[in-house]
Amino acid sequence: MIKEKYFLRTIFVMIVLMGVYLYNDHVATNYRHSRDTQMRMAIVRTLGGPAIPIIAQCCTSRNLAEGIYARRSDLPGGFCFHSDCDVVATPGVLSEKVYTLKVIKKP
Amino acid sequence: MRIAGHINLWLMASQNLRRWRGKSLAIVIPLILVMATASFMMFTRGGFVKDAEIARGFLPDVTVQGIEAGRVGKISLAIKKRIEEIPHVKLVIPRVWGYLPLKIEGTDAAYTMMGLDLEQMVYDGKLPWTIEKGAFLAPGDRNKAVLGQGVALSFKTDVGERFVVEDTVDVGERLLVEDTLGNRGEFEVVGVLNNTVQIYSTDLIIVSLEDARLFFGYGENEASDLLVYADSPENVDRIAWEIAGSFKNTRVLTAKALTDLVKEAFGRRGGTFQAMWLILLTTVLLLVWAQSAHISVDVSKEIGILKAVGWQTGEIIEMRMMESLILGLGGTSIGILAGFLYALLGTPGISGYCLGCASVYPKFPVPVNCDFQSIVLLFILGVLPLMGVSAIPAWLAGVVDPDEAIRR
Repeated sequence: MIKEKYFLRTIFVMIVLMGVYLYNDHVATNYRHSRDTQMRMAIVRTLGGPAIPIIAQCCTSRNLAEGIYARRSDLPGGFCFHSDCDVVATPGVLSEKVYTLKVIKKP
Repeated sequence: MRIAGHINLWLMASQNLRRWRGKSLAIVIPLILVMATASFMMFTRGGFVKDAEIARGFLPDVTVQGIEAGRVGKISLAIKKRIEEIPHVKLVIPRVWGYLPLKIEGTDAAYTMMGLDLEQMVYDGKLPWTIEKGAFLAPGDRNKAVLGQGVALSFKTDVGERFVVEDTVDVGERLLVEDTLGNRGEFEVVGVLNNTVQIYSTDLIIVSLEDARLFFGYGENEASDLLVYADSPENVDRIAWEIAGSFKNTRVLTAKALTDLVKEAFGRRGGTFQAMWLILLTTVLLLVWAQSAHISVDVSKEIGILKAVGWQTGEIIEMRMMESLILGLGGTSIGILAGFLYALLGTPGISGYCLGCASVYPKFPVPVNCDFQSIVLLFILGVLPLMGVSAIPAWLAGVVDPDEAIRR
């Protein structure tokens, strides 16, 4: 009796894990079945690349076509001058050009 | 020993764990946390990697960037015309893009402005699905923009509103010197992309090629990069080599190279979590060692009685090892499921760190993938070290002298 109980539990856990795996592989992430994946790929195709908004917020060290941050600014031999970069920040930088976005509300 | 004997030892081990509930929970709970951390990290990274692999089929075959003094810069459209003449090149599309460093109410952020050639855009039939409000840009559109949700939600813009991107001096906390570049663009929001595609679009402001060119101060014959499409996949490498050999100061990236770079980017982020996870696992192993090495008087007497009634040393060791095995399997299984659910929920609380996004970005769903290899690896990582550290304590328990143990 005890053996049957443990056997059933083990089978149940295995079925759950297998279900999770199958759901992911064949439904959630499969291009043919997943509408989400199809939508993501439509964006990738239209933009011409996976413009993933990753790799820190430091613009000076990003490259859309690369996705890897070099942590170097565009200054020769310079470092990133974003204050919130968590690697290196050059002290005493006086200026930083930022943009302003405004929304003009409908009248 | 027959199989029935091993099963009996297994049952005895599980009963022991139930009897010493507090001790078992003290090991299982940290183990669940450790394995959940490892799982969500693996599954999230797996999701990005799988997405990147799928995306390979949708990327331009070759991306050509210009190099100026060793740095990525603009590329001349004169090169576009020459690339078009290369055999097996089907289409060459220029693209202009750049970043907008922002300071919104004291928070640093970075948005991406992407200028697409609307006259020869590679249109995907499923593109309308990605639009939550309004529509995508149409050929001939000028001064219009489609926004990613991160941009739209940050400023609460809606379709039909005018969206001003103004390049001005922002005398913020750290700014002391004026900048006078004076770039300025004004766009009407015609569409907002939906939540599902945020992973590739949350920080995007999609405009026409001409608008982006004007905004970033590009010349008529300049672009950020060229997207090259081959007539057949077999000719991609040949075209890439031809471009790399024919033009100086260019950087040629094939779809495979781009995919590998995206994978590597996520590997780096995953590395941070792996380091954290290793520290946690070591802590759990030390806990298991401490718990197993210390044999209480009750346990010692019990083992003494078992040996007195005929149990062999090997059986005692096997039972103790089975206790570790059950704890490892149980903790790892629950941890994997917990990690998977946490990843499905979008890793709340740490998604920004996972993706390295700016802090103004809202939460968005990340792709999750649990593959068979990851699950096997997680079980190996969760069970084997646990059994390893409990082997010596199990042996010490097994060689207890029954007479001495009972008299304690």
